[in-house]
Order: sequence, then structure tokens, then C-alpha cells
Amino acid sequence: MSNTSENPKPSSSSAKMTLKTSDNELFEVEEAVAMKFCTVKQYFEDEKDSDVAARGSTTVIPLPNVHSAVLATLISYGKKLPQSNAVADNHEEEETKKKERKKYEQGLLKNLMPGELLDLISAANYLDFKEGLEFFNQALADHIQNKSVEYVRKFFGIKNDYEPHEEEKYREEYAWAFEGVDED
Amino acid sequence: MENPRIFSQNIPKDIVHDVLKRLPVKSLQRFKSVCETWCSLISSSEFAKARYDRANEPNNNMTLWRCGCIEQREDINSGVFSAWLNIIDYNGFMLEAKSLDSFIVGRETPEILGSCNNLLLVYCCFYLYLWNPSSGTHDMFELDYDSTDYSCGVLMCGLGYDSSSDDYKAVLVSHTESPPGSPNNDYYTLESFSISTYSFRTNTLKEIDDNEFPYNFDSDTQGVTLNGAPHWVLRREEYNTEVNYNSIAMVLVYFDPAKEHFYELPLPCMLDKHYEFELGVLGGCLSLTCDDYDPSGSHFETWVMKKYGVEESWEKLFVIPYFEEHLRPLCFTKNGDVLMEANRKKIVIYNLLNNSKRTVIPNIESNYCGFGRCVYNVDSMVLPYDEQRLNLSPHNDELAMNTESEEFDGSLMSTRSQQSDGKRQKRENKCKNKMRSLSTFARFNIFRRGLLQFSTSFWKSNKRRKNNGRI
Repeated sequence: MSNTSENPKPSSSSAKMTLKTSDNELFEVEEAVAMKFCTVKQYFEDEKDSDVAARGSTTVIPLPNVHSAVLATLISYGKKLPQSNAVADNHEEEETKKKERKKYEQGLLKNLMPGELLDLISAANYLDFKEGLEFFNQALADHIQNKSVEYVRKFFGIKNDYEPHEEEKYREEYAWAFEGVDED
Repeated sequence: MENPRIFSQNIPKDIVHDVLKRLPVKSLQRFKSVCETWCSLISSSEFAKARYDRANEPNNNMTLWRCGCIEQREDINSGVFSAWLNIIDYNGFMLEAKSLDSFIVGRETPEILGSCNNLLLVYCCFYLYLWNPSSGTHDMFELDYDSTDYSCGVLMCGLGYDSSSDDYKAVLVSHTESPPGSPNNDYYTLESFSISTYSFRTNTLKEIDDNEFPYNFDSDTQGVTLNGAPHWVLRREEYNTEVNYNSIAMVLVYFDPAKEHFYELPLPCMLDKHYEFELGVLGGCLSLTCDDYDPSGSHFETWVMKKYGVEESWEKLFVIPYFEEHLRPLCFTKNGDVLMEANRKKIVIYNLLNNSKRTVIPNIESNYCGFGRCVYNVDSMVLPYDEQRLNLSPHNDELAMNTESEEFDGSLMSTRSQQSDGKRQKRENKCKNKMRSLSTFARFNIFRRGLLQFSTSFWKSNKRRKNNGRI
């Protein structure tokens, strides 16, 4: 399944890049969006140094650590962000775009499974996608904020290295921190 | 479609760090028990710094609180006392100090009796001041007295804002009868109270016919203003004739400045065995702090009423092991530390995650710190009380003179002092001399007694500057 970028603006640069995921899917992405993935940007710039005619060519950038479903979401999120090369919008347009983005973000989070969130964070981390990482890390923080210690351990795959009596003591001393926690 | 989870079992440390620093203190305190690695991460000073830095990012939307306390400083060389309002910002650092000497009469330590919006109600040497530290403007009201009866007087005071008339009012509760027993007794069995309000807009003192004040309190009871109304924790005593003793219930009481009536709010039922509470406002909610004892030692608990007026919404916010008497949380700093007053003479920042603390005030141990405790929100409140209107009242001839001067500053003070200097000068000198020769504790007592010296007769003179020559 190949994903082509939608509605290319004739006025902005329509240079595209192709990204190849771990499951061998190819994604054609606008350069402006792909540049938000700093790992890709770095790769692209390295390529450019070595080959003058690389710009606009069909270089395929391999992303062996990212699955297609995950990349699709990240690209989709990247498109919703303010583009650095876009024509400056007036205030009204900016506000509309902001609202759209908020709505999109809410929709995205609503349908997201916690496990998928971790995958998105891992991929965003690998791609060095700063805005994506900021957004998804915050989503994860919101998700675990009121969860129990057991849930968090399971979620992050952390082994409990406390002795039972140590843990018991801690829970007693800071009982107030354990009140009102979500049921597992 | 296969979806390999490569990192889910091994989240990079940076990610964990980034996620955790976004969490509130309660979650972090709990997650310290996830594993030892997380515990040392959360308790580390690097982590505290990361949270601090994040809190200071410009897009972080937080109400900006400032905390002020009054400090009386003595110049070692000259022995001259000066009174300052130390302003601490929401990061827990001293921002600046504002001098009170330009408008305060007398040399006792001024005390903040209440704060509302940007304004402070300050008492010093028989004057009440409504002061805006940001702009420097102030209004004053002289509490008249002609009795040296130490046992009668104002015992409780609070500042409120009546939005219906755009008026700041001070409510003054005094008792009208001498208590039985020695005059040094803090605890009075009161038969009746006299309640008055002073309106700073009209500069008039008015007695209130409110017979429903079945409460009692200690002389150093101090309230907080929330939603324009002053709140206190008071005792309601019911004399039980069968058992022949007083049953005491602690109640939360507030004064509605528009309706000019006292109302009660529910306390958390879990605290019904407690009698000593420090009242505060945290994150816009009323907070109560009390001490408690358990096998591991004594500690302080702070509760907040998340939904105003709803008893079920009282929630324990945090617990601090005992380290000082009279801990009173003032506000949260931007990164979740607690700014608090300790033992009525220190301002301390407390990190709830690693139990570390830092003293903000006093910077030098030998400085005497006055009682002025308050929290006031500088930025988010629009000041409805227009500066130009601060001292205008059609009832007052003297004001014609005042309006000529463009700024309400020290020059105004000198005008007034010329007119009514006799008794005031004497009083000033008396205070000054007392200040010099006394120990800290004695100074506190003098101040406290000074408050008590407002006899009931003060409320009989109800126009501030009407009695021009007489003080």
C-alpha cells in the first residue's frame, strides 16, 4: 500500500521523498513534512552531499525500525503541523488551522491503544520527530497519570526490584499518593 | 499484519524521563515505588531541575502567584527599623522588596490582615491600610481608641471585596465585654460581639446588626480571602447543660461583603477530631493544614476543598513530615514545590518528592520576621478598584486637599501628620522606643496587645477624617 501525499499545493515545493518501512511499504511524502523527521533530514543531507543531482530524484530512504501503520500516523500528524515553508497565514486562517489540529489530535488519541502509543513514541524517537515526540509523550503522561503502580510496571515492562516489606512501608508512609487511583 | 513492538519492553531512559517530568507531584510520589531506578530518578536534583525548566517554558499556562511577607529589618549600625514587603515569585525566589515606610505610621511591625486581588490590608499602630504594593497607592483608616483597656478590642479582621458596589471592605470583629480572668488570657468567654465593616470606597465604618455570630476564636486567628470573602476557622461552642461543659466544634466561616453576613462551610469529616488548623488558599481552593500523629512520627497534612462549598470534594493533597511548628502552605511554585510559612517567621520552599527544603526568608537568621503572611495573585486579576477613585468620597472635605497631590505617596502622609500630630507623635514615639528595647517575643506581644487595644468605642466614630483635630 503506497501512500501518496494529498492535495499538493502548486505554490509550495512539491518535491517528494520516498520512505521505506520495515515491512517494505513505500511512502511518498512531501519534503516539507519529511524534513520534520530529523533522522530523515540527516540522511537526505548526507545523500545530497554525495550526489549533487539527488534533489528531486527517487532516492528511497529506508526506515527499518518503523512499521507502516506507525509511519502513516506520524506522517499524518506531521502534515497537520504548521509547515515551515508555507505561505504565512492571516490570523483567521491560523486559528482555523489550530482548531482543526486540536480536533485531529483528539480523534487520534481517542482511537489509540496504549500499546500503539508506545510504538508511536519509539518511532518518533528513532526518527527524531520532535513535535511528534512532544505530543505523544504528553499523551502518555496523561494516560498514566492516575494509574496504579502495577499498571505502570506492566505497561513499561518493568520488574519490581523492591522487597515486599519495603514497598509496604512506602505505601503506608505516602498513602495519600495512592488514593483515588484508577482501577486496573 | 504483523506489528512488532520493538521498544515497548525497553523504553529508552530519555523517553521515560520526558514523560515523567510532565506528571503532577502526586503521581510522581506514587511512581517512586515502581522500581528503584524510577525512585532515584524522581528524587534526583536533575529531575527537579528538568521539571523546573519545563515549568518555566513560556507556553506553560499557569496562574502566576506571588507571595509576600512583611519583614522588619534593623540596621545594625544605626538601629533604625524599616518595614519591607518581601515579594516572592512563583518560582520561589525573592523578586523584590517594597518599603512600607513611606506610608506606615509608627514603628511596630506591620501585619497583613488580609489580601484580595492585588490589595493588602495592613495594620500598624492603630491604623488600617489598604495598600496596592504594585502601584504604591494606599488608603488608610484610623482606628480610634480612648481606652487603655487591654481586654477589649478587635480580635479578628478580614478583607473582602463587594463586587456589587465595587468596594473593598474590612470586617472587624470585636467583643464588647471584658472577659473573666486575667487580661493576658488569649481565650475569652465572650458574651457578645460587635461586628463592623469599613468601606474603603466610602471611607465609612458601619456597625452590623448581626446577632448570629455564635463563634469563638484565639486572638491570633487569621483568615484568608477567597472569592472576595474573608474565611476563618472558628470554634463553635455549645454549652451542654447535662454534662456541664462546652462541646467544641470547629467550623469554617466566611463573611459575605455584599450581604454583610457570616456563613459556614463544611470541614472534611475526617478532620473532626482536630482543633488547630492553618487556613490557606492553594491553586484557587481553600486549604487546611493540621498536624497528625502516627507510629512513624508526626506530620502535617494539607487538604483542599476542590469544589467550593462541597464537603465531599475535600481531598488530601500532600503530607509532610514534621520539621517545624505551624506549617502553613502558601502556594505551589511553578514546578510543584510548596512555598510555605513555617513557625510564623520563615518562608520555606519544600520539595515534596525528595523532602528537601530551602529557606527563602529570612536570608539572614538574625532578622526578625514580621507576621505579615499573605498570598496575592498579581497577574491574573484585573484591578477593578480604580486608583483615582481610591480616596474619593463626597463626605470628606479633607479630600479636596488630597486630590491636589498627584500621587498617593509619602507626601500625603506628611500632610496628615501636620494636622493631627499631637497624639500621634506621642504614640509613634512610644512605639519606637518600645521597639528598640525588646526581644522578639516581647515585640510580638506588644503588637498583639496593640490589636487588642482597639476598644469598642472606635466604632462610634464613623467618619475617618471628620474629626480633624481630634485623634
